[in-house]
Amino acid sequence: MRFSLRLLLLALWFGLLAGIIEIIVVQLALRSGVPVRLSADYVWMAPVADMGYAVALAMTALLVARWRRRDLAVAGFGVLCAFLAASVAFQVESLHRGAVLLLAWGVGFQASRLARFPRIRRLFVVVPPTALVMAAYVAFQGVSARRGAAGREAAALSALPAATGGAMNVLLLILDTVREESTGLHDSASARTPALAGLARRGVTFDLAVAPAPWTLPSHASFFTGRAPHEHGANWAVPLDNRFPTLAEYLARKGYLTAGFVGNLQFATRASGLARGFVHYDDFQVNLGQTVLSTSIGRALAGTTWLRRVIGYHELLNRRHAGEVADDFLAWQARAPARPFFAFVNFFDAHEPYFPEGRSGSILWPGPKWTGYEHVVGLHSGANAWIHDKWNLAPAQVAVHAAGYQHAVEEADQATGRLLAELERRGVLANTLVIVAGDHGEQLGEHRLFEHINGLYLTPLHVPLVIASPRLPQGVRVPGPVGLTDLPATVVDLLGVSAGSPFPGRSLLPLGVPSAGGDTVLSELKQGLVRQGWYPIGKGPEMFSLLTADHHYIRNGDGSEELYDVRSDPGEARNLAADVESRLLLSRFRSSLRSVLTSRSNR
Amino acid sequence: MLYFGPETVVPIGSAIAGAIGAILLFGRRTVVMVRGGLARLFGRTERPAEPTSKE
Repeated sequence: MRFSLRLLLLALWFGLLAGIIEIIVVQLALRSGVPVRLSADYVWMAPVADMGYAVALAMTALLVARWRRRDLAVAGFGVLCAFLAASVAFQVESLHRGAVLLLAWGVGFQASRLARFPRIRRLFVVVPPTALVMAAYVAFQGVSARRGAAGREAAALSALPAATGGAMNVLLLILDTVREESTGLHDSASARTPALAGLARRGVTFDLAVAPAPWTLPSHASFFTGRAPHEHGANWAVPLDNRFPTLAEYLARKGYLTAGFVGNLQFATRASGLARGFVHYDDFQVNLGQTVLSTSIGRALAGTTWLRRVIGYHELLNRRHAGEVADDFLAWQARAPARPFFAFVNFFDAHEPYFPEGRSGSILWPGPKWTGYEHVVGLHSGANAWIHDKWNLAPAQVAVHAAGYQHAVEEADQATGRLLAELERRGVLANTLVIVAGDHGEQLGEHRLFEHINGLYLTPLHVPLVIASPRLPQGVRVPGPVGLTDLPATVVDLLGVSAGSPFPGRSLLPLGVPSAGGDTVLSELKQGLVRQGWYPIGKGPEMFSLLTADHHYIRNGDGSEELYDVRSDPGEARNLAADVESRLLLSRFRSSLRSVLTSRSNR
Repeated sequence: MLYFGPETVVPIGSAIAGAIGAILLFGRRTVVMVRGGLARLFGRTERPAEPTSKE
């Protein structure tokens, strides 16, 4: 056999070995309770991608060895050992990339010295048989993963009881990271989001809907369980556990066909615990980007800022656009068995990184060169240096940033419109309760803050909420504050299945009739990934806020308080907490917060 | 993706990985290089031997 072919085989062997080590590391992480945000297909994606990297490196070594007239075995073996060392070391994502590369270089250097010994070269004879064994193992894992998922879905489907005749479908569409202010629901700028405005004309709009938390996982967990974040406990490295029943579980027991389609592949996948109760759950896709991200080296490359800048590509490698999520939902609905369905759809388009001119990555940036990738770094590495940078943004730069966000919100709205129009064309919408809501908002420089997760001002909490069905009044607005933690209680009430419901809270539309709202709404944020001192959450381990129709009370982690008059000061510019006149009000809020936290904890 | 902790860089782990890599690359010379680097960093340079008089 020519040595170049033997080198190719050796590269495949190293790729398979690196992939299998990745599988073992992930399995160990899963067993120790670490959430692993990977597709179930990683068991074959990781070895395939690792084989690709190894072959590319081996071929590069081949070319260099021929050019420099070096011993190919020495060069090839050294490079592949360096690759394996890097693959293993990059599993610890917290290691500095430079240190990993130095380690890999050292391993490769020593390996290439070893390859000079004939005794070592004779060991290469074990490569073909062991490669076959490893390939068989990977194939078995891949087939098992696929069959396991299909089998679980078929079993869950066959376990569904008969549904009540004429039961209404439920579509819960979550517009991830869409703040109310940017939708045009609140003012006359309905052209921004015509689909949402159209739905509002056909249903009930809640003008002051408030998210239970300023980020995805605790908010979604509250939407599904009706429990506040401190009750269900879903957080950074803690998925939603099994203590509280979910809306999907409850409706499945009523005979509903339950399905989830998510664009947020960070905190809404199976690993987040949100899939509990869904017969079908559609999160990660099989594509090149996901395959690359299945490997430690792929994740390291994707997270390398200078490489992103050189390539000029700043998008998430596994981004699922709203249009794709909508298509997958519609395809599922078209082939679904004849049952009432509860479908949860999550559109992730409005989440960073977002780009003013669409997703091409080319940006007209007023000032020093800027790339959207800083957002990705901030989101995925936790370094968040990008937010620090944004402190010094000029108004024109903030305007560009905001334009990118607005563009993304409008993309999500377009997909919403297409989805609803298709359901209407199919005659499904006439028997569907549609709930469109945001899971949290987004800051675009308000209080010198950007993004979300970092505080409890109204901007990251105030989200759109529209509930529509042919059985509800049309074009009605509810002015007072309402909390989205009450969504499960609302859904079971509107479906007429609230008897025996496990969901606390009250229906936002009792008997289908809108009330004035006016609840006292609790929101929470725990410190975790984001703990820099300049953020509000940087002050302490957890913060709470209570919103009434008139005031917004915030208690920071260090015990300091903020109070805003949201009627006269919706931008929360003037903190009234230090005013003498606010003493009584503050005392009432403190008491109310104690009462809310105690009563909810005791349920 | 795997999640290993709130902050991303573990300085001690990175230092150990880097040190192992350097030792694998340079062997005993690593110590000499580190010593030379530290001496340069703190400004301590070895004084050259006194020139012998050729007068």
